[in-house]
Formats: sequence, structure tokens, C-alpha cells
Amino acid sequence: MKSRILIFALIVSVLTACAPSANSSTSQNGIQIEQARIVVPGSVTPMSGMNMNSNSTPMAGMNMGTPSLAGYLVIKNTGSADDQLLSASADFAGMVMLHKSVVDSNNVATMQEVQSIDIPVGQTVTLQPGGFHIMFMNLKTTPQVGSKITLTLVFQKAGTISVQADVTSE
Amino acid sequence: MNSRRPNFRVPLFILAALVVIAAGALVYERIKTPTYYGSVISPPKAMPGFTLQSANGPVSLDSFRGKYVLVYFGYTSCPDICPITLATLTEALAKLGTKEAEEFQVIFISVDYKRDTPQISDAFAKKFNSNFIGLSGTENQINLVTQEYGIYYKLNPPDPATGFYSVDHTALVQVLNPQGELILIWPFGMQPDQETSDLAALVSR
Repeated sequence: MKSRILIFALIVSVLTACAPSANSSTSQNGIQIEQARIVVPGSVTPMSGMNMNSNSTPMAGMNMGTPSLAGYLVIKNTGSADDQLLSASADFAGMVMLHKSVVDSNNVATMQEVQSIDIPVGQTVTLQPGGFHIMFMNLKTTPQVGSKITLTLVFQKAGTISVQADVTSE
Repeated sequence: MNSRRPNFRVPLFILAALVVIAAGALVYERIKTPTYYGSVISPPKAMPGFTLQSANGPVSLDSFRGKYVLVYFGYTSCPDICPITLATLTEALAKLGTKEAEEFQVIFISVDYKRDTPQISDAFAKKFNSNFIGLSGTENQINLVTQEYGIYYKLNPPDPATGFYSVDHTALVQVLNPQGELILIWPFGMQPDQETSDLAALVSR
């Protein structure tokens, strides 16, 4: 009897250990996604320490103090056809857009919404600070640093892919 | 002629030459100008004082004399460039050492006078480091200070669907010495190690 329990426990623990780490890499329909993260600056929760002075009411719909957050990730096209990232979404944000930051030769930073991001066959596209990024706005809640958030991505060919994104402070 | 007497002359000469070379290298190390990763402004450029709004009332640049001031212009609704710049500054200062880091004051100035109140600007800056100061101002004050600091900015028209607008702005960190003179500029893309190196070079002067 004891040995059966032992064997059972062993099997369970081996299976658990072998379960794919949801964070490291997600591969689906020719698209591989890695290092998905959402940056919430600072280790202090944004809403604390805020002076809720009624004289400083911001524009309606803007979350005071944390109006937008950025998401970054690495996308690899391991399939046989060019693909495009069309959109992204997450429960904590009412609106999610794809953006590209550009800093020109005069050091002027601009940001533009893009309708899609090309992921050509065989290529790796990195969404990173200063370049393409996912922009989360109309925040319903602020993700906790150290937690994971389900990020849903929609690709033209690969379809809908959900990944677990780390919430980091930088 | 006396073959017993050892000849000290050659080794002595070599020794003397080595001492002179070593001394020369030491002197050179002391007097040479340090290399900076950022762009050096030489001669230092006296920057005009400015008055802006802080979370605790009006503030003028003069009040920071005696410290190096690291000035960055941006806006708090910026998800990408501004957070990474302030995060890099935070990391650079952390690598420097507590005592040396005290000589530097980071000031974040929001050019987004429509959305960013002094409280919002300060809260944003303090997310990165409780010693950072965030300022904002009226449209006139922002126009004046950006002009004085050679900073371009533009509040873009809002997106009709979301109401959100982005702000174009010069993304540089300007380093002022304790006398309020501009001495160094860090363009966007500086790494924390590079900034730490520049900061260390400044305090060792």
C-alpha cells in the first residue's frame, strides 16, 4: 500500500515538473513568442502616495498617475508564410494599441500607432523600449509586479495566441 | 681594468629610466581629461534659471545649486521612452554608490501641461526613485523653459476614437554642474553602465 502511494506521488511530481513553463516560450501555428513582459515602473504601487487633490483632476478616462503601460515581447516566425501581429488585449486594460517609438537624429522622440506589425517568415521581431511596443490604456487595475498576466495576441495567419506575460518593474 | 669591480652603471641607468617612465605615466593619469560616453559641452554653458511648479509649490533651478542636476523633459502618459529613461537613471545612480549618488538631483519636467499636474508629474518621477523630483508648469512656463533648454515639444492632436494624444519631445538628459552650467548631454539609448561611468568621472574631478 505504501509503495503504491509513493509511486503515485512520484508520478504526480514528475508530471508537474515536466509541465511546460507557461512563461518561457509559447509556440503555435508557426509563431513563437518569448520574453513577454509588461512594465509597471517602480516598486511602489502607483496609486499609493498620490495626492488626490480635487484641483488636479485629470482628463476623464485617464487613470491618474498611470495612464499607460508598455508591453514587450519577442516574436519569431517559424512557419512557412509571412505573418502580421494585428492586435493585443489583456483584461486589465480597456484599450490596447500597437505603437512604435522613434527617436530621430535630433533626439526627438515620437510615438505612432501602427495597425499591424510585420513578422516575415524566418524573422524574429523584438518589441522593445524605444521601438515597437504594446500600449495598454484605460487601465481598470494596475498589474502587480512579480505576477503574470494573460496577454492575448491576434495574428493574421497564426490566429489568436495567449501568452503569460511577466509583470516587471523595468 | 680591475675585473673584480662590478659595473653598476647599465642596470642603474635602466632603473632610472623606468622610474621616470612610471612617474610620467602617473602624472599623465592625473591630468588627462576623463572620457565621457555622453556629449561634453565645452566650455560649460550657463543655463538660465527657471520657475516651475512642484507638488509643494513654485520651484526655481537656483534651489538646486551645489548639486549636479540631471534634467529630463517628457510626459507621464508616455509608456515607453520616458519610463525607460528614468529607469536607466535609477539604475545608473544605484550602481554609483549611495554617497556619490547624493551629489546628483534628477529633475523630470513634464511638457504635457494639459494632462500633467505637478502632483502627477512628481508621482511619476517618484515611482522610479523617491529622491527624483517631478515638475510641471503652465503653457507659458513650459514654453519658456523648453526654449531655454533647447527642447522641442509638441502636443499632438488627440485620437478621435480614444481621446489619447501622444507628445513629441526631445529625449535627452542634460547634466548641469553644481554652478548650474550645462556640461554633458546624454542622448536616448545610453546604458546604465555608461551613465554610471560618466557620473563617477564627474564626482572624481
